Amino acid sequence: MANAEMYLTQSSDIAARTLGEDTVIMSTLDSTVFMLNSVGTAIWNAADGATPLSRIVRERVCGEFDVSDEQAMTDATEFVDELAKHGILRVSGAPVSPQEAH
Amino acid sequence: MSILAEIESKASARGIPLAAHLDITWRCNERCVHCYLDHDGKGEMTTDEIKDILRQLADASTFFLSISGGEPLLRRDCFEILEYARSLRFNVKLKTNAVMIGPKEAARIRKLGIEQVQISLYSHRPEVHDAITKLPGSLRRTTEAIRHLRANNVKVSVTDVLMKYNHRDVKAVKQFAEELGVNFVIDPTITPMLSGDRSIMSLGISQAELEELFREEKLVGEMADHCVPSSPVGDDILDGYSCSAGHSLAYISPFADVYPCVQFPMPCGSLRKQTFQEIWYGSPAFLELRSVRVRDLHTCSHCTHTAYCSRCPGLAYMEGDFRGPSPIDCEKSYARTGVPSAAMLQGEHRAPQIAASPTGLVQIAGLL
Repeated sequence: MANAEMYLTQSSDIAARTLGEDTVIMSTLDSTVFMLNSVGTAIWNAADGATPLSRIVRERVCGEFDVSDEQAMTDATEFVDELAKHGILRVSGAPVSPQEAH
Repeated sequence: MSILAEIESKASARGIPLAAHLDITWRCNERCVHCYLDHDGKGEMTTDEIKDILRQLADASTFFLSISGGEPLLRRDCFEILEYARSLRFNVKLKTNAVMIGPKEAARIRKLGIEQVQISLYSHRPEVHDAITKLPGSLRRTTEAIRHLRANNVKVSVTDVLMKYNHRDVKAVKQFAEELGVNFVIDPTITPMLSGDRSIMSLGISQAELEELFREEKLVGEMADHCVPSSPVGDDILDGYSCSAGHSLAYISPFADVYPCVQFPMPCGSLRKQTFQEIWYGSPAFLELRSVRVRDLHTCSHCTHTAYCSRCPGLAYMEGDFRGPSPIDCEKSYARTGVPSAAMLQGEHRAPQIAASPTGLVQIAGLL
């Protein structure tokens, strides 16, 4: 399960495209399709393997959207868990280099 | 609304070319009797040109990419193109006859994350399939390739294009597809050649055979749903459009020419002279196409079948007017329901003789 100090990387086993403020992502492993709204897109775009989830939520969610810190973190961990379950996001306890990410 | 429908709706509202069909060659190692393409490779795009176009499509937010031909694997750079497309995070489908796919190629396709491989399969009998492709051994090689792909867990969809030569095999082909563990699609459409030559249309199944086909529940599903006449339409249908061609779908030929769809040969521009977005957003042909709604169709807007007809504007264009009816779709609606279309009643189309059309092209049937 994801927590605030986890690091996120985007899987290479996906197809993805930004459509305006939203992002469509499809897993090439199981063809699951996700449509991320602007908040999900902000987290997705920040999943660089070097930024902990807590900082992503603080800077990219709470800093940009009208939501409390606690609610934002709860929603973000659920979101990350769901994407991780389908192999779309990878979650680790330590920073991941770009080489390791792929 | 399903997620895919939501994606389509959002893309359409923003004018995004969500899907693109890119033929990287028209050359082919088969010579299928019903093929609508010529097989001249002169003037084909280079690898760099194709990569540049892929970048332009990604910049335009295209998500679904169908790479096709001809036989795309005849190009030595096919895997380089596929790899580049995947690096740009397209959802890629590959349409191929698969005769050049062995264990190594199948593993590579899996590794690249190709969403689906689409293959035509005309019969379970080599004497029929190979006679249609005019390539001896093609059924054996295609079947072996399907097994290699499935062994690598690659999704495969086979399309059975029904002609007078092979339509009696359709149930056996469906069973064969199930044994192979692949999706099965029936296509009773024979498309006129892009040159305008209609001689291959005579290969299609007859109206009576089409009616018989549409009453096979094992092939078309619940007949009560499939064959029920349409209900009256509301503004939501009349204000919509009947096909994604030119609205959210673009076709690009191996020579960098852009059209609404491979089955809709209305020239919209050349990528050797303009950028993709200049053509997509500025071509007078695209703008005219997008200005037409169902209510603007002079015959089809008041047809009984308006709600469920798979009217193909490209086939109508090849009849001379993309605002007009597509006769083979009238025949499909008639075969399905027994109710004549408005075009039939007006005498614009009198005698059904050829096969009807499903939604879209063989090449893009499973795209969205």
